[in-house]
Amino acid sequence: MIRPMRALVVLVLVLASATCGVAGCSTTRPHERGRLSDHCMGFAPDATVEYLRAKAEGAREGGFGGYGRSAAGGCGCE
Amino acid sequence: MRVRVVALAVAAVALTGLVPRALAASSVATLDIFALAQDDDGGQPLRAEGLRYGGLRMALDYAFDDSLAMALNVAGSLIDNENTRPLPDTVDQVLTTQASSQVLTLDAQAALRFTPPESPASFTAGLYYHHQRRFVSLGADLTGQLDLADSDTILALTYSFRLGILKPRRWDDLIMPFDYLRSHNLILSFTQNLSPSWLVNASVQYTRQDGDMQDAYNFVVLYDDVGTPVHLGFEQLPRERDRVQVSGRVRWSPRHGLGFGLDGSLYGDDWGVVSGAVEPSVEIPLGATSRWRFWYRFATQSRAKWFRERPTADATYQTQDFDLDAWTMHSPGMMLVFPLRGDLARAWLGRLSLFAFFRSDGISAVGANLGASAVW
Repeated sequence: MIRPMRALVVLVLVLASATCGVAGCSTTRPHERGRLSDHCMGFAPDATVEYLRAKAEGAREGGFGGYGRSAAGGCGCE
Repeated sequence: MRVRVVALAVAAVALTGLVPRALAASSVATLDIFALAQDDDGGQPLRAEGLRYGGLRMALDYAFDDSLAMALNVAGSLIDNENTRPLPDTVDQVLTTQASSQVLTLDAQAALRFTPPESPASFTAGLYYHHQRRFVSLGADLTGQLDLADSDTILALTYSFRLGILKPRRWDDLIMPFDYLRSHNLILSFTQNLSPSWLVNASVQYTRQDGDMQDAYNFVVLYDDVGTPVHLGFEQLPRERDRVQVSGRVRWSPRHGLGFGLDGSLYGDDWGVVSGAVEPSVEIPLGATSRWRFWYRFATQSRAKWFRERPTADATYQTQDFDLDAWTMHSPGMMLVFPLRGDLARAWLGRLSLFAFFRSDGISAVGANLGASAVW
């Protein structure tokens, strides 16, 4: 059961690496990056909100838990 | 006045975690209080999952110079769990226990970021510590980042390791022997400026876990042939798990301060859980430094192959943890950032956020945080 999963992981990582390696391209000049550096373009708008949401929402999902907690279970259990 | 506005703008940008290199020498300190109330009107009918959760979080991002920066954050919280539910007379056990009605937790992280002068690369190394009764987790985070194409392209590779040590007290009051949980996490991330107003990010994440992945307070209710609960069995889960997640994020800003976002992710693991999530968001400027952000997340997941809703006998692997069942979840939220005060040396920002989630099986929660930040 684990072998196909590992093969998929390797495939995804190789494809992602290859894509990233060839995709770097210059698209803006420094003076055109004002909007790009605005807070509204941030992927993680606030660290505390992200922390709380990970505790509250993420911990309820079966797809959460890669960073040390087991698998779901909510923030109220040991 | 102009200096104040610039300082507040720096604060606003720094708080997003998207600090441009030119502003990297700014330092930010934040203090937040937060609270969450979770209600349980579904899920496992014999287990109470309601709770009240509150705490304090402090963070400091301090730049020594343009090359070296430090980040520290500490969060302490108190969890007040709902009382256990009485078992029906038909169940042959007489006792279940639960995480003590009150649990204290501590999370701490420290990291150093080094950017060699005139180099497109930067490196971050961090340590992580989590503590609560009968569970301690230690870890390390390592990130290498490469700015390409004059910073229009950013590649980042992050590896994280966590080692958890646990000695759980089970739902039947038995204290289990020491066990461990190891997690290896690898994230490859690719960010590209597409134009002066479009930004995209794609990432792939792989996680490998081994060790004790059971929740000590999860029992499995066994039923007789007519559907009456008669016995409580043990949750049994494999000691290994492989997980993959692919994520994509897009941001579009038609004018300064106004931004629209769309995040999406797909997840799968060898326990049979497949999930997907989308999250549109919008951020609206309310003035020079005030802003209002709204988001709405929709997530859905399939049932893990070990999940058994009404079993009549024990199985090699079994769980009744509804977090591993199939459901959909809706999560709206908002954050308001506003200036408090500012002067030549320091700017202060306030922050209020509210969020909630509603899951199709009856678990729901509302939460809030209130915080202040100083930038100098």
